[in-house]
Amino acid sequence: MALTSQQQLAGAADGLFEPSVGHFWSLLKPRVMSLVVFTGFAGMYVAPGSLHPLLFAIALFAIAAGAGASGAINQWYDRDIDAVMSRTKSRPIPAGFMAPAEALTLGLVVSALSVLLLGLATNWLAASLLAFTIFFYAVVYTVWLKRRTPQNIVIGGAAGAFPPMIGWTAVTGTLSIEPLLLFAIIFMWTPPHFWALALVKNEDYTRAKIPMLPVVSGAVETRRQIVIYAVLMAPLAVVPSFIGMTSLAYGVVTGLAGAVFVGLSLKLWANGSDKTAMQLFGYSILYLFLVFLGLVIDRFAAAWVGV
Amino acid sequence: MMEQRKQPKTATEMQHMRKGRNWVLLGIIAGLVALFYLLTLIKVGGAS
Repeated sequence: MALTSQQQLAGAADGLFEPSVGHFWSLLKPRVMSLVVFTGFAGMYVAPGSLHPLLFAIALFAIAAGAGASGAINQWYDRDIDAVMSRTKSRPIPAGFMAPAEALTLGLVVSALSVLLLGLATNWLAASLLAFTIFFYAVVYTVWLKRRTPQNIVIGGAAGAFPPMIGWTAVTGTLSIEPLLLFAIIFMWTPPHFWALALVKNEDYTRAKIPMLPVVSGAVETRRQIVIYAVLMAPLAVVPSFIGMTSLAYGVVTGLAGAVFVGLSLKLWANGSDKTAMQLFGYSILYLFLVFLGLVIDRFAAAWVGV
Repeated sequence: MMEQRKQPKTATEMQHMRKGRNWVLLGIIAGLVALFYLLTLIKVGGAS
């Protein structure tokens, strides 16, 4: 039986299309979630102490769910600007697959569940940090900063820096210098990572009226700021080996990887090409992966040789 | 990038899609119940 005009009208009021499970999944920003899972895992793995394997898995799941939920709330709020940017216009809400209210509901329900789950599985300090992270990304970054200031991703970057800290706290129940250091590494990594992409997607951000640094201050100033952040970030990633958190080998590897990061930033500063900007963007992802994988390997090796 | 999924053209197709989605939702809820149950067992069992 074909849909009647009344049913079609009801469908239109609902947002026209039937969202699939895949649409709900994409609302949780799975690629961002994978990075959160990885850094959260690293934070949990390198933290002193132990957690029952199932509680460990549940905690990681809760951190991932919290990140996904904040992504859904972000897509609900940003649906107007997502519709005018080539990178985001095929997301479920602007593409018409889903009613905005469905995305918001998913975001709020999963947020509450993830915090509850983490609190019950580990401790309420970790759960509070997760709740604060969701609030920071969904409200402080998305609602307050993103459309107002070119410092949006500098301050908003804190949201992406919290997962290893949450992971550490989930295991230990306390905060110390080590998780703050992990936070600082991602916090300083975020601006050069996003600005490299923003340099290439400048037209998109301009069309959406998002005051990213290249839009407001121009490409030259952005490239200068990328170098500054890269120079500040690279030594930070080496610090764990100086405070007894990791071995010297970790420091050497991350030091070399950081030197490449700074080198690419300088290359971008000098030539200003889109190709180098995309190289830096791609390398920045690899760099963060290396830094946190290094932490995990270092801890694994230390445990294996009984140090 | 979001895939362009086939959309329902008939009421039967729409009902079929909703039914499929509801089964997934049921699976998620059942999974959460199992998760909370296991969590309780571990916590009551004294694991940290």
